[in-house]
Amino acid sequence: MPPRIAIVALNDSFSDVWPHLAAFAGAELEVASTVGKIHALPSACGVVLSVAGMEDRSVELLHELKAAQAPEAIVVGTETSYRPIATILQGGAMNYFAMPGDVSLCRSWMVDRVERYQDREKGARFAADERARFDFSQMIGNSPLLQASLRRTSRVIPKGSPTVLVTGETGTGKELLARAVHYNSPRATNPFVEINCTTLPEHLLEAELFGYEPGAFTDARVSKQGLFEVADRGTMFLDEVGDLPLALQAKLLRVLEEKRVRRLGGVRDVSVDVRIVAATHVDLPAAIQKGRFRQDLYYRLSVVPISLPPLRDRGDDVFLLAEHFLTRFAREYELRPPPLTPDIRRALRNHDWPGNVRELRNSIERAVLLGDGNLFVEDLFPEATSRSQGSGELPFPAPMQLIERAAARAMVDRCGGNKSEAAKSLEISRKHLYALLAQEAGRE
Amino acid sequence: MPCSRRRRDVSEGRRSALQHALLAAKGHASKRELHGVIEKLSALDRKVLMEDLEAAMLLASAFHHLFFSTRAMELLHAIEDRVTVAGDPILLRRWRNLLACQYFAEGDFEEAEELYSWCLSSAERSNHGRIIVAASGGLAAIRGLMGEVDVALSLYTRALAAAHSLGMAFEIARLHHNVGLTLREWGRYTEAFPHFMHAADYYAENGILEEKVFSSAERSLLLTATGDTLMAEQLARTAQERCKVLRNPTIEVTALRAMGVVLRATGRLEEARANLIEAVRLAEGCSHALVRVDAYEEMALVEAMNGHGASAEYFRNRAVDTFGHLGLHKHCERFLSNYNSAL
Repeated sequence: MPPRIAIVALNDSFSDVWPHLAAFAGAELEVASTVGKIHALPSACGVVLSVAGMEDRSVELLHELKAAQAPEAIVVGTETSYRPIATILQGGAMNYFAMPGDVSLCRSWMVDRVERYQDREKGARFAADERARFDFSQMIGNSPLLQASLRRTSRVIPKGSPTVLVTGETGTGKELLARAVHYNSPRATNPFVEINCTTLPEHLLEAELFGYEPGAFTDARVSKQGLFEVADRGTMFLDEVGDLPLALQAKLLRVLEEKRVRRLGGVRDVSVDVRIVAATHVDLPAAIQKGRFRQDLYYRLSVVPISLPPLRDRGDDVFLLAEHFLTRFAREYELRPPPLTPDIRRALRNHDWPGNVRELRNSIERAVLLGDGNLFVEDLFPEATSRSQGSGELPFPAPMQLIERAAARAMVDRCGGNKSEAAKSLEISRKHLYALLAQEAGRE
Repeated sequence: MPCSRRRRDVSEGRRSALQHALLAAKGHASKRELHGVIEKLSALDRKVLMEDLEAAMLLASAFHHLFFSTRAMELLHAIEDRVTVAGDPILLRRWRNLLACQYFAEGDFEEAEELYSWCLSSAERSNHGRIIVAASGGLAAIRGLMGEVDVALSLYTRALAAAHSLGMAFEIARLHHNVGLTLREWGRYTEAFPHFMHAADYYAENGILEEKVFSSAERSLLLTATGDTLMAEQLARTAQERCKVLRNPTIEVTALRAMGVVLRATGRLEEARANLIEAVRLAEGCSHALVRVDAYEEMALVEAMNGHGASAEYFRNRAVDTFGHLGLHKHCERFLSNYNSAL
């Protein structure tokens, strides 16, 4: 719906001005002589009371607007003396502009209202886009382990705001899942606040999470909202919660139990309605045993525990993901998407993927870019290749292509550079040997 | 035709041209069409443009987004008096924020920080979301440059939270790119990776060419630092390819420098030198002090490694002077340590 400015005009003064201002701000205009005649008042992005010469009726009209659940209104008239304007402002007007001098202020106000309206609309569109992007049915992967995790997550999302604890190795998509929880929930148009508990030192993290009042510490000159307050009605994603210092664990527990926060140096609590999605790669039960994580917090966090499987346990998902990334990067670098040959598939399957999906994504981008439209195993796994080159040993398990090339090089060396003899010893054709050596040389 | 009627027609005509240009420009929601905004608004008579602060702000904003900071700065200063007397807090916030961005680009971080701080507290009081995102992101970048990475990260977190709730997808990408940049600058490479990825994913789908160049170049620098010089070189090459159609010296310097860094890292010093000579030549004509100092810094290192003592010393001094002028003392210390190792 386009932004709409509603004008309640008690007379014709300024009637030629409104269309210009509204057009400039990019808003539609609706003008009526009474509050009751304005269509769908609460959905207007701004309301103007045009009261030239009739300022004494402003307060009464402001009350009518409030009763009609209209957004905040400005009053436009011709009065310039202090007292009547003060009365209008005390009556609930957002501002008072005296025409004709304040016409540019009035226009700027309209631009601001339209921008805020557009921001809200954009926020809603963004949430819808993100919802589509993080739709569980769209997530790549058919493995039973992943599907079980996704089913479990999708079941809990609409049900109130239970805390979700996502566990899994690095690169398994914990952050994506947190976004999916947020953007598929009724909280989607409210803030999604993400903080990594390992990136900030303890004192700063505390100030960030809980906010502070002036004088709470040396640099605290003004009051500052904490991120729990910023995330009110939305979702807070606490990444690497397993690394949260013990003192802050106690404070987090209080937020979860009481749904209230107190700023550093503050004397009163502020209510917050925040869904917590926590994630960690740490084995929390083990951390509890070692006294590094509070047991009561663990129980509070793991209302809905979700475990994301590592890529190596997801079977053929690695191929689906590889195809997806191949298409994406080939498009980005304007190359023909290279096929997943049996060699490549074998290499993808045999690799351990300690960095999981993130590692796969980076490997595919690298291989697409370096292969210039082709896909080579050594471009996918540069570290394994360089290790094998440096030490003279092959990684284990090594892709067949790599083993063949290494064997070709080793045999040529053993035969003192005599390629015919090397080909004969390997029981392959000279042509095949040359191809392997050329590939090896290309790799170097 | 009576004279007064003609005057009125001219005035109406101007207003209509301005309205037309503004509405057309405002309709360009996509950054891809910012050049169109500039074309439409620049075609207006200067006097007509200056009569309308909103039009001037829109044009300055388009200049800013396309990295023409000198032109943006000139326009913003030209309307300063009119913005001040207008007494419009919303306009003043937007004007100061845009001006802060230009001071930042030109390396006057003190001025930029003061303006951003004012904008942030003013915006927080009136819940002006767009300015909260821009000002906290700007302050974060400055703190990051000063080496106060933790403070920078906390400001970035706030900016990202606000940008998420306003659905500012482009700002989210830009902020992630800047977080990555700050982390890379101070050696936190592993943490930098996902942020650059996030930005690159967005730019791949929605970014303009300028952003794609910056993204490729910065990722190239990160990969060089982590030792994947093959991929780094390929990304630097991609950045250079993409630069060819842009003809923007600031962006070209960024790509040339990225290539220079990876060539130096792989020992191809003559090639690195050739790239960096061009980078320095272009950087000298840029108003972006950070771009200049990056070029001097890299040139000094390559010349030192090449054994070109006098030239190395010359660029070392230029880098040190520029770092000093910018107040980037931690950066300067790090550079001197690298330089001494390269000798």
